Amino acid sequence: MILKVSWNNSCYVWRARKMEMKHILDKMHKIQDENGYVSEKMLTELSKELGVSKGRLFEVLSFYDSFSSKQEGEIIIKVCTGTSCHAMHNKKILKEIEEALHIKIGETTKDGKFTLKAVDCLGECHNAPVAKVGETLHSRNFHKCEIINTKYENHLLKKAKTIEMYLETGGYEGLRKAISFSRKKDIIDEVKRSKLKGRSGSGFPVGLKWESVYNAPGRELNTKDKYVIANGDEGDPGCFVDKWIMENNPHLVIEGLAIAAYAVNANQGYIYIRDEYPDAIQIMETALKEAEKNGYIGNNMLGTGFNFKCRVMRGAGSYICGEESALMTYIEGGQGIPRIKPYFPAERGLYQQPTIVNNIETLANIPIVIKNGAEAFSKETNGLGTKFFSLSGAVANKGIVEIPLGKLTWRELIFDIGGGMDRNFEFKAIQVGGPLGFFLCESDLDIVIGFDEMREHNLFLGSGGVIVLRDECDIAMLTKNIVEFLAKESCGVCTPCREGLRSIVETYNRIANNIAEETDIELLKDVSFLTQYASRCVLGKSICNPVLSSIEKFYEDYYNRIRRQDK
Amino acid sequence: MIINGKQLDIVFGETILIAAKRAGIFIPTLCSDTSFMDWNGCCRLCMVEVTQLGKSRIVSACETIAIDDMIVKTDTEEIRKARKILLQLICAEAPGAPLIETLMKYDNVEPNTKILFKNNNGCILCGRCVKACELWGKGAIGKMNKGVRKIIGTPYNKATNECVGCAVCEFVCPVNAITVEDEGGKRKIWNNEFELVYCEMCGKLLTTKENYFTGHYNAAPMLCHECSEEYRKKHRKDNEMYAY
Repeated sequence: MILKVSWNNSCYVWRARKMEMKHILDKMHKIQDENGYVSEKMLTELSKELGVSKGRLFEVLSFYDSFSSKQEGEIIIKVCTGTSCHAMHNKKILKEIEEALHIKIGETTKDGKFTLKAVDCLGECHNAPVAKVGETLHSRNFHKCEIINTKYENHLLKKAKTIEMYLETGGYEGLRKAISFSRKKDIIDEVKRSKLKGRSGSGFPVGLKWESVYNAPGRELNTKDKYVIANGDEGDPGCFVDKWIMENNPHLVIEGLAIAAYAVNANQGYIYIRDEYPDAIQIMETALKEAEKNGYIGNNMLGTGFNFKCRVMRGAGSYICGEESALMTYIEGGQGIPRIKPYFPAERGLYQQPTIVNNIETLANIPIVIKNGAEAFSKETNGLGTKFFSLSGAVANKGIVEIPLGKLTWRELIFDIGGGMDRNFEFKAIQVGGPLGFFLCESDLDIVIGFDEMREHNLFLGSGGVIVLRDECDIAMLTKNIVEFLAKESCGVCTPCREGLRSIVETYNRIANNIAEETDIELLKDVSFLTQYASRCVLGKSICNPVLSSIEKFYEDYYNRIRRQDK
Repeated sequence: MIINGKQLDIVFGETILIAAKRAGIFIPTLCSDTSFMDWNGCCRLCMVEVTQLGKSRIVSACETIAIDDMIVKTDTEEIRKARKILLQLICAEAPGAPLIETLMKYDNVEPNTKILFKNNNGCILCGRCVKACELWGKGAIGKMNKGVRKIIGTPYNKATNECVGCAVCEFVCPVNAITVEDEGGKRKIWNNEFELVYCEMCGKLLTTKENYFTGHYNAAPMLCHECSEEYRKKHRKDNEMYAY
């Protein structure tokens, strides 16, 4: 009897705590913005207000980079350490700032004026290397992100910052057409017939995801809610596609999200945007207000009697939150830790309800699919649609490009569209798909860009970041940078990923100091096998991609650094 | 469910780990405990190969619910290879822990001299202490930071008024990474000091003062479990219950 009571009681407490954690991140952002840091006193007050223990709150506080637990300087200097900036020698900038201010990374000057921080990616890879002092960006020659022109027609790359501009170019026609369909199932069939695939890297068919959410019943009887989430956590260094869309064409995303919500009967939507993109957050918020004012979202959407509320979720500086289940734990409040699959988000997602999580770029494709019809979409673009790529590094034309999938090779992308190497440098490699992607060498350049074509060669397309590397670049040291990034940004729950990365980083340190031996390379291969085999989530399972592909294709960079007896 | 070629009837809702235990098949694990009512699946030692609907995948046995049409293999060559490297990594984290040495002997694994971690505190971050504190204590400790810098600790790494010094975290730790010092009537744990209380009859160590008075009425005498039984027998009056 006593046991039963305490069991129920503790379950009740757990559930209640989960609901109380709901708005914790909003509140922490507010405290951080007002004071610049979260002190012990403020945390105690917050814990009294929410009824959650301080231990739980500090777990969340220390997990995210945006919050700090100690007082910082008046001006914060953020130096980007992403892959592109590393390839363009950001170490020199860091060293000079460190010498000038007599502080190291993460420290504050004695007079409390400056704090030096190393951040992962500011989404300004075309300007690399970059640093942010206060709110202003600094770079060698700063210019805005440009569209690279191709001979193909741009379907999505159109600038429409305000709702008037968007309506002029035929905006919200897709949503109007979707509402005119007699059944909601027809919208999903339309998307299914277009064969649109998710643009975030996995290439999962969008129509199938929507259909399973449409068919899934709500878990609990009193809440039959379903949710739609736009994933704008573009944490991959070297990738700035979603940033461009959100800043220049925000209504395209909102329209796509509204169609998705209408099709599956979801009344609440979230647009998650990472904290490193403050402009995108602001533009998206004003766009949401504009759309609600004109009746495209909100209560009684376009006179259909369907209610759809949408809000922007501001991220807090965590790469792992780009994983869909970690993103949902972020919105629920708490450490962004991925859940195990199954269950998939389409069955049990946010608050255990069926949830659609789509990438920003995927959602931007939806209005066009509906507006022109599935047949026209698949006919115009060879059945696959178009994909954005962001070119950075040692390439002549840096910026963003839209190309049809399944038509071009990597060689054409870099040497025709990208205009070849910058200042006639010699080509060495490209790094595609962010930190969890692959290195491609000269002989791989004839692979056609497409989901299936890449899979045939055991590669995957990833999120669309392309970093071109010149002959001078040391691939072993670049991989070290990538692995250090992953070691910092892993959630740290499962042992293979956390300790595997720790041992990989220590091995790369040995390689950097030229004291590594042949057995160290074997160790890298063994640990990569373990992380791929036993990790909990996609991040852990893909650590092996950059490590193994760099060892396989650029062994000479490692070979030069290995200490040998005959040397 | 077929486990290692053995047909097994399962109870609805149980995990593969519990089902295997019933069938007499040993799966090594460090972080799982049935009394926690929740599983975390972070040590990954209990990984098994599950074939379902013609597809095989690697899952952790402690957090996967057993289903009738599963074919489970717990001892393939790949699992043994992965477990070998995993044990070497865990051994580097907590060198000299008796439980891990036993597991290494079971799998015939030698420690890898190449894997050496510098800042080691002997903790394998299984999270049992955090769960135990949440359930039986007050949620004073937590898994702080992320990635490779993850540690178990208190907020701001300072003494916290939420901790009552019950030391349940030390009790559930599989590698004895949490230090508790009981000296001179004081207990030192998590940067904090607590006053200890002793049984009023036999003088046995009970617990800390803060912990004792969170669950007991102040009026009753402080007694250990055995003494309180005796006390009740001696002082029992008809129709009167002693709250203790």
